[in-house]
Amino acid sequence: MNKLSDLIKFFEPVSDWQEVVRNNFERKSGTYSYVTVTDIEVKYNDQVFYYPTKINFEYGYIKALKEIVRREKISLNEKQIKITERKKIIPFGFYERGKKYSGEIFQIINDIVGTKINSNCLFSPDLLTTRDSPLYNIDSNQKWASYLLVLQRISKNDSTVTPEMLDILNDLLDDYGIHYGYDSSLRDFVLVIFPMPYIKVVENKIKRNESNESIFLVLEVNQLGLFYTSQLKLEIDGLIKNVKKEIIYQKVESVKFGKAKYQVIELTPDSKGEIGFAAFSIKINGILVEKFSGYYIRDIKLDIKVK
Amino acid sequence: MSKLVYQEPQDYFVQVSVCSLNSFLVLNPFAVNISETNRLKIDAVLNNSIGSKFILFPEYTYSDELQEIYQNYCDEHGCIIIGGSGLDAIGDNFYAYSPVFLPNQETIKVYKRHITNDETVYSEGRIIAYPNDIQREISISVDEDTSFTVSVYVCYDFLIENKKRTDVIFVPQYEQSPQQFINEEDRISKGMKNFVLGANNSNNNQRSLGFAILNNQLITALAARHWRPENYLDVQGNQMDFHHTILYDTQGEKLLKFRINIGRPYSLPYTYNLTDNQPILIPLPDIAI
Repeated sequence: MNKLSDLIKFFEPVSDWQEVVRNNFERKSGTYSYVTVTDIEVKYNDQVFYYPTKINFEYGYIKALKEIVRREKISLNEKQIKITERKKIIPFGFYERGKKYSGEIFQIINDIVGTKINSNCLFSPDLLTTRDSPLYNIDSNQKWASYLLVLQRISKNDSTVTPEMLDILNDLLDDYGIHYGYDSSLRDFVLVIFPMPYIKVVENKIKRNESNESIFLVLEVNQLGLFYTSQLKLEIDGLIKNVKKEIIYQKVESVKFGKAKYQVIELTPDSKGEIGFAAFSIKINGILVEKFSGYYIRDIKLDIKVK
Repeated sequence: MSKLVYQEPQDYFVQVSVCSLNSFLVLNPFAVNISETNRLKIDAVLNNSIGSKFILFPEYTYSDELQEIYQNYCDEHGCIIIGGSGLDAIGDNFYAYSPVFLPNQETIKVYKRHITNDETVYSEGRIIAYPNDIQREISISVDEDTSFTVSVYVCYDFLIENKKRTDVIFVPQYEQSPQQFINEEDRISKGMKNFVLGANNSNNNQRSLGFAILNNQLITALAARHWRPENYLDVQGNQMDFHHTILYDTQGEKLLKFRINIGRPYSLPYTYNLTDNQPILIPLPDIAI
């Protein structure tokens, strides 16, 4: 299984993480309205395994500050494994700094992680999609394509780990969205996730016309106020190849946003041919919010026999 | 560049005329009567509305005789007229509808799908509800990237039907006690962050109504300029939380004109409103008809 350090090795180092967050994620945009801070620890055989602190910015309405502790007990080989997940949900409206309800996003992160942060911070070079590594491995419960900031606390005491324990841990933490191997340095990591909660592709298929093929997409727009109260420029940057891997479509198409929850888009290649591969990125106001690429599976004939 | 999709709203003003007129409805025979006096009123409204992009008339002030006048006016001035409402004869019965005149385009008829009890009695059961779905939304493109939508609900339809957000909702109405409209229009404009503009006539008690999210600053300023009272009392005389009325208690036949900021259709609370932006509306002097 992958280690966290392998998953983030292509991330770009940033010298001043606060500056990066301040420049890119402003609170006044209204996209995020609360933050979830999650800590997971596993107790087994008098040992405690700590996983990274996960800070996830989210949209929506939370009425009050919440603290949720989820405990799980598993019996294995007559020994008990205890998993404790501590989750704190902080709505921005309740966020207090210096006796005032205020705070920019970088200040909120700073308050949560404290000042003892190592200088080698990393930021994802591109938007990470939910289906692909590393975002899937780090948080498979994430619903939206995201940017990721990795911070590292100045090291605490290391604990030694018995090797036979590691495999069990990896299986147990699937539920919590964690799909990477344990090592003792994980305790020092802080993973900050900035999702782009705007648009999802809910249907993506080939539509056959009489003589031509086109790609039929259904986009689901998140119920955010900004979609309905402001002017948005929605664009799809697409690349389509045919089954012989020749490019048959490559352009940026602007889409008229119909202010409806579901938006249907059909992309027709200039030249005829069977579509084999497509890659798209969706931009709103010039900002990349979702992307995907892949091959279309064709002509699968299922032969089901019922006795 | 920020990685979030946020864009600062841009101010974009549109001039609107809302007129408060007595209804032209006569009972014997049951029809909308465009008499010479009424014609002069319409002319006065149109002549004083040059520069307005939308002109809203109250219910029962339209008949087919006005079609050519309205259409020519729209074509000439590039504006949209929501011509109150009129009656469409179906055999012995009528459908009520609001004609929406668009420049150099076919007129859209927004039919009334819910008929009030008093209308049924006035018309001796001859006004009937329109049974089919209708087009309410009109999309207006300003340039390649900017477009706005407006919608029209005739009177009771606004209270009953499900409403979809558009930048401005126009409601020609005929309502003697407008409290229900105040509640609903206030609720919709707050929830949808948009403008809800009504034109009302009840002949003895004209009240034109307009709603949008106001802040304390604007409420004081509009009250000082007679557009609305500073506070409202309910029927029992209790002090109500002030609702977000732009215009209210308009007595007499009047043409009310104002410029609404469609690009920024809601006010921020006073303390957050110190940035360099324009108010959500600027009233213009009103004209007695």
